[in-house]
Amino acid sequence: MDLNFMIQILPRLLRASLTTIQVSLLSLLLGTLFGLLMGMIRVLGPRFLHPFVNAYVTFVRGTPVAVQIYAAFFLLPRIGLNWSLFEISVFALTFNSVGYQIEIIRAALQSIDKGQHEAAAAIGLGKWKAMWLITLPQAAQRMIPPLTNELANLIKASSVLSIIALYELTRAGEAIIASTFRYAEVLILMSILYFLMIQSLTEGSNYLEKNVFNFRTSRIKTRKIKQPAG
Amino acid sequence: MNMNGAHPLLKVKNLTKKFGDHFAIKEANLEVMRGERVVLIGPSGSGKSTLLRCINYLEVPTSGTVWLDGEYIGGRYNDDGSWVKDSPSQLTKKRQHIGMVFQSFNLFAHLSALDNVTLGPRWVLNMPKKEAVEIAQQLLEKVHLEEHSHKLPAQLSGGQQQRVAIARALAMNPKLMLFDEPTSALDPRLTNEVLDVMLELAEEKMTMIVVTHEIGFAREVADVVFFLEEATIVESAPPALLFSDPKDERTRQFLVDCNILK
Repeated sequence: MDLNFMIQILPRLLRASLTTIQVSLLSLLLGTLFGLLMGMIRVLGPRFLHPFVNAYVTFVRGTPVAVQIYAAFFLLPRIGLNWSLFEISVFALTFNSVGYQIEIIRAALQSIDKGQHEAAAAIGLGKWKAMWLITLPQAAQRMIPPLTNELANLIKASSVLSIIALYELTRAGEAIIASTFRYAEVLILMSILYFLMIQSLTEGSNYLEKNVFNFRTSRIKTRKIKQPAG
Repeated sequence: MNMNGAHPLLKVKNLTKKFGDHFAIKEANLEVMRGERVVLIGPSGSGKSTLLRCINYLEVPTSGTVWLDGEYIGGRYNDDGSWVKDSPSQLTKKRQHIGMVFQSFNLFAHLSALDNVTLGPRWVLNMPKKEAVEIAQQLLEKVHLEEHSHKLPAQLSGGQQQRVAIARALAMNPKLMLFDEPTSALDPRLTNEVLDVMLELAEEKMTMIVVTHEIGFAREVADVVFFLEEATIVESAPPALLFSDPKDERTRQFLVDCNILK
């Protein structure tokens, strides 16, 4: 193994890692935006919209991300969108991520205790206000761990973007391998870089969970006073 | 109780709630005057809580009407007998006049005691923040929690949480307060804290309907006690009468079982 070679290629791989992070984080955030919208529709919205949301989720989960990326790459220009490779990539990963995030967000929203909704209704809050003021802030805390997981998935899925030649970490590594045939060094460095990206983002989200959304959700067990049998 | 010709504040008429084939409450009729304090007692599963929850439509009745101070809650029957349902926003608007206190407190878990109380005035009544905070502080003082206003629900004892919940309901300046077994989740000491606050409210002539197993409270506070069994209102009478000389055999049996009557 050649340490000098590794040091020599590191700047190229670091630059490409930056693209990996940009694509993944942007897709996560856009995905959360649309995921929240569609997740809330799925929970509170008019019933006739539910099948569309469900169909979307089923489609995303049922097709490989590589196919989704190819589809975005070949079909977006066909409908007249002359987007850059980066934009196509963000679109493809966002499209994919929304499908998973809808389910994450729906599950978190539906996990909030029924008593919270009843208390909101009892003081005269409408269901959308209750969603915004009561359900969503509490559900946000529960969304963070699965969304962290989703971010890790996105970082790994972004490696598939190499098939449309986006110069992210995997593509950069492939290019170096193709010109030098030094597999081991490149693959080891790539693994370390992926690992570091995922690990540091995970730590960041743990911090968010513990320090920003740090209220404890009350789970008070209620008991009924036993009545003598009548 | 209609002694001075006053109109009732609340009229519940022929209210029935079925879960599948099972009657939770059957053909219940109830009238409550302004300032009147009503207590519902009866064995678990007798329909007291369901009746209470139907009054503000947290539970949608199968049939029957709820009328509060000039308007029907949830819906009404047309002259031709057809049912006209309230839109969600109509129902939401009407609910703000009915305060509710739950067995499990249901404080908003992510908000401080103060924010729990100000939320309704601010977001339902569109009150400016400053004014809402002032009212909330007065109410927290009233329930003896002014020093705990910054705490989250999880940092409060059950009794404190329930008193915040009472303040939260009062902040909407309701015409009617519903208490759904407010002390059933509390130990005797905390129960007394909460009952003391309810007693003060009762003395101020707050109109209230209380579902409870606290016979002592019913005896001391209630103008009328309703006894329910098997989804039916069996009888109602002032506590002095009901607890000493019930008319119905089922009431008598229940009171004997509770060691209230010999």
